[in-house]
Amino acid sequence: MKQGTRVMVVDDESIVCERLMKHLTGEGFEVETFTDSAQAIERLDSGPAFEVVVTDLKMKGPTGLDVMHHVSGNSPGTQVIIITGYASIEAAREAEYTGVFDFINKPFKLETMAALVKKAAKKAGKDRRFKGGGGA
Amino acid sequence: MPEEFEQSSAIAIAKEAEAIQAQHDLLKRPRLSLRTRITMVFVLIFVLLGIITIAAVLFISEVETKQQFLEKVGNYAFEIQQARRYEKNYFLYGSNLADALANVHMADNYLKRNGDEVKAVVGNRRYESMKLDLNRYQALLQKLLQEPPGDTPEKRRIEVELRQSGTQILHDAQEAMDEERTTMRSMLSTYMVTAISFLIFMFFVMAYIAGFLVRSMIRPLGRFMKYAARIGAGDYTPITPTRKYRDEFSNLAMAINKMLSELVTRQEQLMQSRKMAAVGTLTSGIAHELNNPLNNIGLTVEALTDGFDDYPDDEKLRMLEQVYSQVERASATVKNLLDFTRKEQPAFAPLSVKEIVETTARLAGNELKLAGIELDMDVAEGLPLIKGNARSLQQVFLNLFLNAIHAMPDGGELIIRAEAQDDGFVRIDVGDTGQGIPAENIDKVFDPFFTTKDPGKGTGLGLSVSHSTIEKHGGRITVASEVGKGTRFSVYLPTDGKG
Ligand SMILES: Nc1ncnc2c1ncn2[C@@H]1O[C@H](COP(=O)(O)OP(=O)(O)OP(=O)(O)O)[C@@H](O)[C@H]1O
Ligand SMILES: [Mg+2]
Repeated sequence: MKQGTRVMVVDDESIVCERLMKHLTGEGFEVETFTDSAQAIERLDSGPAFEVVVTDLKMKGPTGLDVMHHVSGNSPGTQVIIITGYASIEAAREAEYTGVFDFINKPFKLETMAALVKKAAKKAGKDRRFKGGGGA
Repeated sequence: MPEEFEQSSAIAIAKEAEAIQAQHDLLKRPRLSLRTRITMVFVLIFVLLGIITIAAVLFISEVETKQQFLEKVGNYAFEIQQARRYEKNYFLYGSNLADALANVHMADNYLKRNGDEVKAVVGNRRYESMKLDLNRYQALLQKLLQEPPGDTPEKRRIEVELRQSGTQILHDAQEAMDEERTTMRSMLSTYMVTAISFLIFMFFVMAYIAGFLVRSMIRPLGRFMKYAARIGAGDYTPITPTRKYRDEFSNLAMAINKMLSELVTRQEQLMQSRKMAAVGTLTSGIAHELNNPLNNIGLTVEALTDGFDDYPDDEKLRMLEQVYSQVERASATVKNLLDFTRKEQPAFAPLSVKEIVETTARLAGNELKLAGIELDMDVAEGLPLIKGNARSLQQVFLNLFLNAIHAMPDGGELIIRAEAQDDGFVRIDVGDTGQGIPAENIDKVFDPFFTTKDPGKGTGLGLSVSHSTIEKHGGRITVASEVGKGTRFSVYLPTDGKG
């Protein structure tokens, strides 16, 4: 897979972070996980940009939407995948969650998540090339 | 569970029986409607007025007969007087006696024609003697007529007798008239006294009737106003009879009772549906609370099945332990949720607060020790028993103790106090010296799924279940807290008095 594609995972469920870290790393991504959304936002504001951000919607402290706003403010090419606990993805889509690459329902499968991250990474790469940003 | 169910349905049946009994009691009384009562009152008034009118008519006709009688006796007396005048003329001037006889004959006719009336007034004997007197007078006159003209001693004797007899007859007539006048006068005065007494009597009758109407209409109205206030305050016990008779107000009472029983069932339905609505708004919380452990289990199991050989044994074991803890987490949520939505009332029994608090404290003993928390328990001896379900109350206190323990990660003091209040409640305080609850959260702590604990550490259902449990016990739970100083939950439970 694409080398050096950076993925951020934000979920206050530590098991989710642990599994995604293992699985996505296995798929060849560079993964950073955060169980504390405030720390994740700090990292977004300071460190190098991610191609893909996967974030839980409902968390203690800053929510998934807060995380997303920081992403779109800092790096427009970054694709955001939002994990929701609700079955009402359609409703979430219709709401003003534009700028979201996709929603994924809990419970999800590692495989599904990996495939979604790959698609998002591809789109992020294209967007970047289009802007002349390059993937370095 | 069937036992609990039986208990609650037994309560429902008892309530229903009470309502049916009340309706029955209301119906059992003899019927005497307001309409009948008012009709009765007016019939009574009419009868009284009728009696007085008839009495007046009878009286007037009586007076009239007396008047007629007086007139007739007057005529009779006039004829006699006339006769006596001729008689006198005869003796003075020797004029004709035939005129006197004609007058006496007229008087006799009067007496005979009105014999019955006269008899009725003066009595049989007097009438007979009057008739005899008149006949004697007549006989004397006739005798005188047969006497030869001129002065004879026989004539003189007859003259004396005639005078005596004439006076006697006139006297008798006069006496009869006087008697009749006296009775008439006394009748008139009796009538006047009767009329005035009747007026006074009617005054009392009317006063009584007014009082009666007030009693049978205004008073029930007042009572029904009290009922309305009582029902408004939430007391739905049916109205029971307070009077001897059944009337329109009884129908009203029965209608209200029916409304009350409807209201009670509606309220129960409403409470249940409100609970269901609360559950509805919980769904997002539930989804979150159940989806997270399910997701964790799913991810871990998927990782294990996909790469079973890639993981070392101790890693596999750790992952399986994770799965197990997530299963426990999910089942805790489900269990709490069931407690929250449970409809039937758990079986209630008289309980000792001291025992409940102490056994619960023992359950939490290990956690207290681990967190380095001191237990300061002071439960007054001889507290009145409360009425409740031991298992669910233990659950309530265990949750309060655990919350307190979790609020004091660096140790502190768990302060438990229990005392009887004057208002028939026992108050149990559970205090801690922990972090406290910020003002913006204090209103939310009883909300389902409100928690500040890390995922998997708290379901946020503890306090909301406690709240509904305490409510089911007829009590209440309050909280006071200061950030940095500590928190105190106070539970008020009704004593096993009359509840
Ligand atoms: N003694 C306390 N001190 C400080 N905060 C408290 C205390 N008790 C309750 N709270 C606050 O109220 C929240 C709700 O408590 P509740 O018992 O309903 O759920 P929980 O304890 O978080 O979860 P669970 O009871 O399922 O373990 C807690 O998360 C905590 O923030
Ligand atoms: Mg709790």
